[in-house]
Amino acid sequence: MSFGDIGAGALRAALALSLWGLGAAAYAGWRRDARALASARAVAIGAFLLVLAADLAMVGALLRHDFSLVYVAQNNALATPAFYSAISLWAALAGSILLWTLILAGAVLYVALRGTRSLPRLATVALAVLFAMLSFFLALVTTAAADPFTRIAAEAIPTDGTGPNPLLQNHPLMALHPPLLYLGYVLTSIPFAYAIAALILGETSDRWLTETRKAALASWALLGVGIVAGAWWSYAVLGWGGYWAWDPVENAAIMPWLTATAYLHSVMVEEKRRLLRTWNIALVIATFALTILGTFLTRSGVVNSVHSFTQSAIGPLLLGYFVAILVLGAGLLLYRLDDLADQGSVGAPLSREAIFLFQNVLFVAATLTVLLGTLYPLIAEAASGAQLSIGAPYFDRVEVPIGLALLFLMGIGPQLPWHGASRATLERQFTGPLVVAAAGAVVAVLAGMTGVGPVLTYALAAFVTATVVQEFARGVRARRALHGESPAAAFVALFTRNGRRYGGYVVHLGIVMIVVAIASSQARTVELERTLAPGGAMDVAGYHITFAGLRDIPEPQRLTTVADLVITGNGASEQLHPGLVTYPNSQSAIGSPGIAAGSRNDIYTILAAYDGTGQAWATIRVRVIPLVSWLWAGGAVVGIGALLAAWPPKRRAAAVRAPVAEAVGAE
Amino acid sequence: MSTTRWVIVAALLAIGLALAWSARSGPLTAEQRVDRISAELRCPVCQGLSVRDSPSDTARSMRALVAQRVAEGRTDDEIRAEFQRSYGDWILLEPPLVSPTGLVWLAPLAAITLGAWLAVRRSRAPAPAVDAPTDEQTRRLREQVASEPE
Amino acid sequence: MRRIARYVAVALIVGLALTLTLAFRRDPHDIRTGTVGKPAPAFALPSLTDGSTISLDQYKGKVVVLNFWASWCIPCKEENPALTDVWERYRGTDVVLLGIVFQDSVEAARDYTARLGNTWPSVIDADGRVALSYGVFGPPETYFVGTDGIIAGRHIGPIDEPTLITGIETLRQSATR
Repeated sequence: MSFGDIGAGALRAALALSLWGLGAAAYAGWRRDARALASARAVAIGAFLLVLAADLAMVGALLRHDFSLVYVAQNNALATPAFYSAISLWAALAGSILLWTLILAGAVLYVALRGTRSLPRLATVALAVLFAMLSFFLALVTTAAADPFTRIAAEAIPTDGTGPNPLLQNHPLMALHPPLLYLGYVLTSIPFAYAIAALILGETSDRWLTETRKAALASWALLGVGIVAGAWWSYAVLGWGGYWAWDPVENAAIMPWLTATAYLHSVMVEEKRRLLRTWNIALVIATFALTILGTFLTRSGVVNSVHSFTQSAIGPLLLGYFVAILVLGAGLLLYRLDDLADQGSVGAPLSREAIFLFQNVLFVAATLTVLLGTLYPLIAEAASGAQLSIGAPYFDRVEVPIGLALLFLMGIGPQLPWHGASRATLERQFTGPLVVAAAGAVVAVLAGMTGVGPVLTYALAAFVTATVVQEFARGVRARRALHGESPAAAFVALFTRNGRRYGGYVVHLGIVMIVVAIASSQARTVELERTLAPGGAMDVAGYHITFAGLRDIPEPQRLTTVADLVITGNGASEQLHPGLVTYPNSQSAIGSPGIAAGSRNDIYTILAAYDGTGQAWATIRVRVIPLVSWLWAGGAVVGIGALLAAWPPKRRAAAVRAPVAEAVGAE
Repeated sequence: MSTTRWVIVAALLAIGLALAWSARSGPLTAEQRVDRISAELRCPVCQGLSVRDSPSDTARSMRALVAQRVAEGRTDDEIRAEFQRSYGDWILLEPPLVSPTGLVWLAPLAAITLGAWLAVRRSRAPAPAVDAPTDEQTRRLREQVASEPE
Repeated sequence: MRRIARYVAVALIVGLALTLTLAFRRDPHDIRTGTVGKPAPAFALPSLTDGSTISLDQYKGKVVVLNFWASWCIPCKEENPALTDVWERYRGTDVVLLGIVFQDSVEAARDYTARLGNTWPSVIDADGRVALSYGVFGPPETYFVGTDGIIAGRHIGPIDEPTLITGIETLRQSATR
């Protein structure tokens, strides 16, 4: 039995089980039948194990270079190292859908085992929804749409494969970026399934929100970190010196992240004030729908992008799935609209819930503009045949002001009380941060930043940081007064007692780091390109770069030509080796940059061209990019903050302590 | 006015001045012009990268052409038009059909305005402002809580 | 309010679905250049063989097939037999085949021509300006210029013999009319 047989068989068995599970869970939800639920649970375990077996079978086939499978022949070669062979599981369409299916099966398992124990009825219906989704994806991988185990006819089996796309074997980060993103994408289906279940059952309570809070936070964090990982890959591997190009597929990933961020905040309004329920359900549906839209845009080939895989029948199927989700979600929501009406209204414009509402509006506006910008070329061409491009200039111009407004709200929102704030409160809360903001603006001007955007960014970043520090200080002070703890213990206790709030503040700090990194790297990057002979040198922003010579590095699967550079000046002493990599089956060379990362500047070097015949000259491009490392560090901080926010709070007699605690500012 | 108010005014003034100072823009150098124009041209052989960012040969020869035209004294529009003649509207990352008065610019503005209006409508009745407790109240509450059994 | 919400939701979903479905009709790789239908940009470039200058207007009144290529370009090798056959067929007639090398070095280009035994003339576009003026995306690319000097058509990617002959014959016939 070959890997291909195991995999194909496992997937088909899983599909059968999944359909059974759909029926069983639906019946169990409808008739509250315990036996049907038990059978659905068993099926969930079985389906997960089968899909896992299929994924492992594909990895096995890749490691063994089994070229009788089309997928292996197209994405693997005898010369491919084992690590890259294994991660080629997600190198192309069929394999990546297989990975997606595995994660989805995991989500089904989680809801079947954990979810049904806490909220039986709701979770059972949600389980049925998830089984339906799993069945769809299993149908994709068992039919011509995306079957990874398609065989090559016995007489045509090649002796060697074409190998993975060169871009995908250049960097170990390929191991991280897609799985992180897929985890983020797929986990949004859990809140979605519960929301649909709540609508079907006419649930008016908000219990499903609390239940799915972990899944929502997890998917948001994984998606966010996955996007930052993608930006890092773009920066470190693609070699053009930037990290974000408003590529349609980048846009497809950030749209659900934006709506998920909006959701994480508006959910707090629902929990505290029982408002915005319709809005929250709409956000959950939109987030999930956007992940499918993103998959559709990536896989269908309708937009030309770095990620576009070849066109296949999967396009129309994903489009149909997307429309079905929208129709189902919107239909159910409109059906239940009256039941979900809010009782009570949002407080004064300067209350926390109002700020959250404004923030939500901005996030949704940002999402819609990204969507419009991405789809507009398609619309224009369909309508008038005109071919146009919408790129960075448009997106930057629209999204930067929205981002700055959001940054401002991020500073004032958490500091305002629910219901409204008095003038005295405002003065007490914001005077300090305002002064820090002014200092930030002055620092920006002195650092030579030009343009209103960057200076405003620095001012707002300083403002938000000051508010966060203020909150931590206040929290520590309150705990010390209440419990007499040492500052360190009080600080830690802030996270163990109220991880959601203080973890959230850490996330905000991470976002501030990212925003400052973006503003600095966009506004103050210095660049120079020169053609040098060996021994020649160039000077950029105080750095002295000497070109020592060209060198060839032959490897079994590729040939790399590097330029040896020595960097001095500004206290730096580095050796960088930017190169151009040629793979046997690709005509163009892939650039591999030489980067010296630093906490203040990155020195980014590119070998743009070189003398192929005599190695007598090389065109070197150097970019000095300030503060870009803060982007990656900020991403890590966001991840840590999300973990802290997920920390289960230790609550004792919370109902009694809550109003008191709130008054003294420890909550 | 209390000290706090003065401080607030001073801070806002400082920020305003900093912004005004940063907003001033002198005439651009030739290199800045080349950069700006290149950032608005799409590299034909890359996926959505601008001519400024792309390290490809085609982008580099396009940049060289832009630099030459800037040195010859052509305007930004003339330079962009030259590329449009060769490659069509597609080469512009900010297409002319979608100029500042076009739909794509109105849409975000409309979305935000509509959303803000709906949001403000939701927050109509200002609830009585809840004051933060005074220090005296806080002290008494703390005593009360501290004396409660754990 | 409910009714408006319903209509808006339906309109948005239908609109989105329609847009995305229409998107299937286009091929993202099919990008139309601005130069088709316009006069072919003039040029005067050094010949690959002896460095003498060859200019476009010395072919005025003839059907001109311009083929942009480079020695490192693998599809260029693939289309070479088609070009050779067409050159043999139309040699000495009013049809001209001219190669334009760009993003390449003279030595590598000469080496390529010698290795493949190509006999039709090629010129070298050292700074790539001529390629830019034609709106070239990348080698190989072939342009069909009619006797009136207007670019009648363009083919991106390796070209085959039938396409070449169809293009040439169409231009010859419209010239005699």
